[in-house]
Amino acid sequence: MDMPDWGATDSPPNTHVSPRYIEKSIEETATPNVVTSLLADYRGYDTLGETTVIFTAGIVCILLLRRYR
Amino acid sequence: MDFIISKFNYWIYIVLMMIGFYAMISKSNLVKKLVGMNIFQTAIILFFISIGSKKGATIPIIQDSHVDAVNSALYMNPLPHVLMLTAIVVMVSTFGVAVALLIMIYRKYKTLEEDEILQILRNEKWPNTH
Repeated sequence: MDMPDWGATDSPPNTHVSPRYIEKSIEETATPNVVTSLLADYRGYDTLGETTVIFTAGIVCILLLRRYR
Repeated sequence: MDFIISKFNYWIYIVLMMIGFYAMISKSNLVKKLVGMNIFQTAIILFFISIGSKKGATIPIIQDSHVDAVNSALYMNPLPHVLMLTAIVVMVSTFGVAVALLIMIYRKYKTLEEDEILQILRNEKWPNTH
């Protein structure tokens, strides 16, 4: 029952980290879409790990589905 | 009553998560278990997305890029969107690997029912152990 209401503007995830990203995104990355600048610029290493995950999944699928003769 | 109406997103994701959990535990078909796992992950994604919503805000795309001071109350929280984008990618990867494993299981045992596979395994008497 202590969780914030739906759409609460003063909830902890909406007040602590994200306003800084929204306010400085244009100035620092020159990208209007904040999600894009977060994904590719502020959290680029996260995206790198994500591509590693999906690459590994692709390799595993190929290894599993290859028929041995 | 207030905690049901104004916190309805949590109830939605609790119900979805319990549906997925029930499917994962009680179904014996492996494909149904996999679908249950997907419903579970979707519930978690909905939870994170609903945390990031603000009343009176729009999607986090800055409309007027020449304004120096951007008012952060006008735009939704972009962080859950980004994190759930990563989570969706991980979800698709796990789904792909699981489907590949299911195809391998079906090739070997010709069934996807868990009790039938266990029956076949018991009748095999483990020929490779010695």
